[in-house]
Amino acid sequence: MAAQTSARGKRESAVVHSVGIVLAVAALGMLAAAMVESIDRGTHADELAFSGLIVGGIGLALRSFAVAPVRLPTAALFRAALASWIALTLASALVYQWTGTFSNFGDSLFESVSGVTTTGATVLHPIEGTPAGVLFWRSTTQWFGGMGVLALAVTVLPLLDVGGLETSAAAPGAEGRHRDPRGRPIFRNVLALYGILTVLVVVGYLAAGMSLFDAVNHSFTTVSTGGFSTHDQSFAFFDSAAVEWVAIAGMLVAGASFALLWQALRGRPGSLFRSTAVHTYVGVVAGTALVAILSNRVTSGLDVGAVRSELFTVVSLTTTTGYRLLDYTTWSFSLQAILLFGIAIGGMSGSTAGGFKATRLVAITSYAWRELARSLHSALVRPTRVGQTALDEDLASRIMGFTVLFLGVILAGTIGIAAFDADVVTALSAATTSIANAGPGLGAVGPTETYRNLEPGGRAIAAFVMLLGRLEIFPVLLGLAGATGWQRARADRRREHPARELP
Amino acid sequence: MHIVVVGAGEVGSFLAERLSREGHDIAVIERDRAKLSAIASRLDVLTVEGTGASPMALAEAGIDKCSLMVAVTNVDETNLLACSLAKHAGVKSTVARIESGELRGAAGKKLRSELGIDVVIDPDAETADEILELLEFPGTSEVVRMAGGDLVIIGVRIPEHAPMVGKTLQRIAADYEPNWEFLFGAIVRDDRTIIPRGDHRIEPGEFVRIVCKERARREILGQLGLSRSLPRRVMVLGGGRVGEAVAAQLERRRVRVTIIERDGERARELAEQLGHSIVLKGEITDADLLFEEGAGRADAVIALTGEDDANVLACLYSKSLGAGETIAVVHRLELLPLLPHVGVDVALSPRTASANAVLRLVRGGVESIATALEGEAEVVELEVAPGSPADGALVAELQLPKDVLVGGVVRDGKGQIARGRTQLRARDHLVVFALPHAIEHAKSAFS
Repeated sequence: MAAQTSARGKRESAVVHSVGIVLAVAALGMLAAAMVESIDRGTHADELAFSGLIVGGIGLALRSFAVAPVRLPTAALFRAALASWIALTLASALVYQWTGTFSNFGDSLFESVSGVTTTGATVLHPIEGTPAGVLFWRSTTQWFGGMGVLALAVTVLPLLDVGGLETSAAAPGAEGRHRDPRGRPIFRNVLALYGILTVLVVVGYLAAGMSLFDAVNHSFTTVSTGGFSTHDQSFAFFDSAAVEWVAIAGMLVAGASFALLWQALRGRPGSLFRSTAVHTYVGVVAGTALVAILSNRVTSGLDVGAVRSELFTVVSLTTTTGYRLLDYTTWSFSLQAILLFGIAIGGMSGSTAGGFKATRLVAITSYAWRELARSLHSALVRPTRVGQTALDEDLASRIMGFTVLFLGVILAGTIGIAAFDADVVTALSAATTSIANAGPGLGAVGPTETYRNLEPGGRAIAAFVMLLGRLEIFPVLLGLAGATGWQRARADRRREHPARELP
Repeated sequence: MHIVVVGAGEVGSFLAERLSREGHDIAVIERDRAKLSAIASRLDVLTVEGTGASPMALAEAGIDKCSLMVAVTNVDETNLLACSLAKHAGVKSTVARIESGELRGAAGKKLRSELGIDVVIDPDAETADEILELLEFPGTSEVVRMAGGDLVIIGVRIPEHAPMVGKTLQRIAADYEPNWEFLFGAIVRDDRTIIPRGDHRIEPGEFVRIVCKERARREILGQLGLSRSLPRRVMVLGGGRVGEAVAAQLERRRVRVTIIERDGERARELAEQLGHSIVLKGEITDADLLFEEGAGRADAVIALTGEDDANVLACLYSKSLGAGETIAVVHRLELLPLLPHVGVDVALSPRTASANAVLRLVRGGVESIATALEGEAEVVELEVAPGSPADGALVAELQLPKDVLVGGVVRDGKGQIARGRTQLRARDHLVVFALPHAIEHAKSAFS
């Protein structure tokens, strides 16, 4: 790592600096959890408070040890992102471990990864009866995770491919203001929006009849499209139309690009309606919902309550939130396959949702059509398009690269999870729902089950896939490659053995 | 009239030649010495080396006694400045060639009037319009609309199999009594233009100019043996400004367009600008490419590059593959008469469309509808002045010279074919066919 000593005598390190910030913020969450625990007269307030103090202490120490570099190479940015995520995961695992929530460290780690990646797959059972402070911390990890995703959306993702496309379109630089190269002013706006949205959803849930504790917890996991619930039955516990409607609205908004939402709030709602990404996002959600609702009407007749529940289920899955309400594994197989596709596509880039992203789906479809046409017209010149926007050839091929990796991870994850004695439906759906950071899948990881059904090895793979999905694959792989020196070794080898022409 | 022409490019030198032949005093300002000497050796005009943005060059060209400034360099800014300088020097009318769509459009109107620019021409846009008109009338090689589109003047080469071959004009006209829907205005046979009389017998290979009513055009095209449908598949060779404009318009009419462009960057730009057209990177004379991309199945192949030989060659090859209609832009006028004989159905020159706008100004409000590419006849629009000899007279009584023919009358926005018994009124607009030497005579008869 290119660590330099700055003029102030501190080392410049993006990794140390960002891990310091993450831990300091995490400590605040732990202290809040301790307060919740003590208000609830629970027995774990001390552990939570001490966790907060220790983690916060480490964080502040790191902050004083290093400063953020003025300029940093892309690789360092990727490393910092990866390190921050791992740090938050470990801090969270510490809480579970210390409070004795899980019997082994593996479960603590799994629940932590699932939390900070806003996935919502859980091994906690039973949930009710777990100390209130721990449940609050569990929801908070997802809320922090959502914040982290938004930070990624303005820092790392624009460097990858279309992950940050909508965000960059909203760059305030267009208004002639000074714009931080790492997108700090946008981040502030987006974060403010995240906060506002959280409060609105809390108010909504309260109005719909939730207790304050449930409202705050579920608001945290709604706006982050996380999906942790404070009840074993998830949303089935509430059995309330009003609660479900609030959740549907909250999840739909959280799955949309925050940059576009911000623009809309600033009085330019037009960009929201004209965006191809929005059309695709709404198309995927509405299309899946329509198919599900119609085909279920054929089998089970007209029922307004059922329609709402089905809409809730589809929205919960396609926005990669993962709240459970009804058992969709009783739906027809084709519907389940469609749901799996909806999960894989997920929400919009620039949102807290995971998945392949609507924008990329549009781009690769356009790319595929172009290649089809090119087989007929070898001299064809045609850009890959997202709506009216023509993409750079570079960008298009990076999206293709991402697509290959995305599918590769699903494939490898499926094989890996299946290797630990899971059936193919379970393994495929676990890999898909993990990379999309949704949570519930099909089979043994279906909506009425927990990830306890997977063997520890399978769970470890699922957790790694969650991390890959959350960081959009590239930073994780590059971070690992950098850490192992694998890439440099390969480059050295190539220098020794220059490429030869194929025979 | 003293006229200053800035820029001796294609349009500039053509205008200089045309106007000087009509007896005007012409001064040409051009930066390129070679172009200038080429003009000086050919025409009796004053040549000034310099740019149109230079007051000294303008003074040398006699801007103080000039009444029309024509700035037609390929640089918008120079043209704007030349016209502005001329206006300040007291020149009555100015014409600027402007390529920028922004400046040509409504947004640039204020700027244009402040700078003192009266007429804007853009040879590329006008060429594109002309090509689109030709595609609307498949088989014709000239189309000009007037009277809001009610009357159309089409130029057609008579094919062998046309039903009217071998008939005299009297015979043909007799079939359409009492209401004529078309009239033969001028005929080119063996490179000689005549204003035909009733005993003229139509022969294949003749080039005829016909004024007709818009709604009768299908009937007439059928009579001429040109009953083709509108093109559905068009190949545009060369992706310059003209090609892009043509492709964009055709796309809007749901025509399937294939464009071949040599430059990769430009091809990419076209692909981004256009919707569903197929943009290919390649040479237009690449026979394999033309074959593969189905030039033979195209209803029309339009070659628009800057290279005459490539355009002609690509058209010939496409024709041999079976292409419906071939249209080539040709920059050297000497080649024009040759092309219809070898398989290029229509040869266009970007200069003629623009020249019309200028000639109109020179002739003081008289609309020159079609400046001949082939032969010498002109079609002009004249207004019957109140109190003139023509006011109230029948066409037959006008005692026009035999090289002048009244082809159509537009009254209150409605067009009709002129007959001997048609009575003229003041403010009527007439479509008049005339040989150049008789134009002045024709004008005097109506003013």
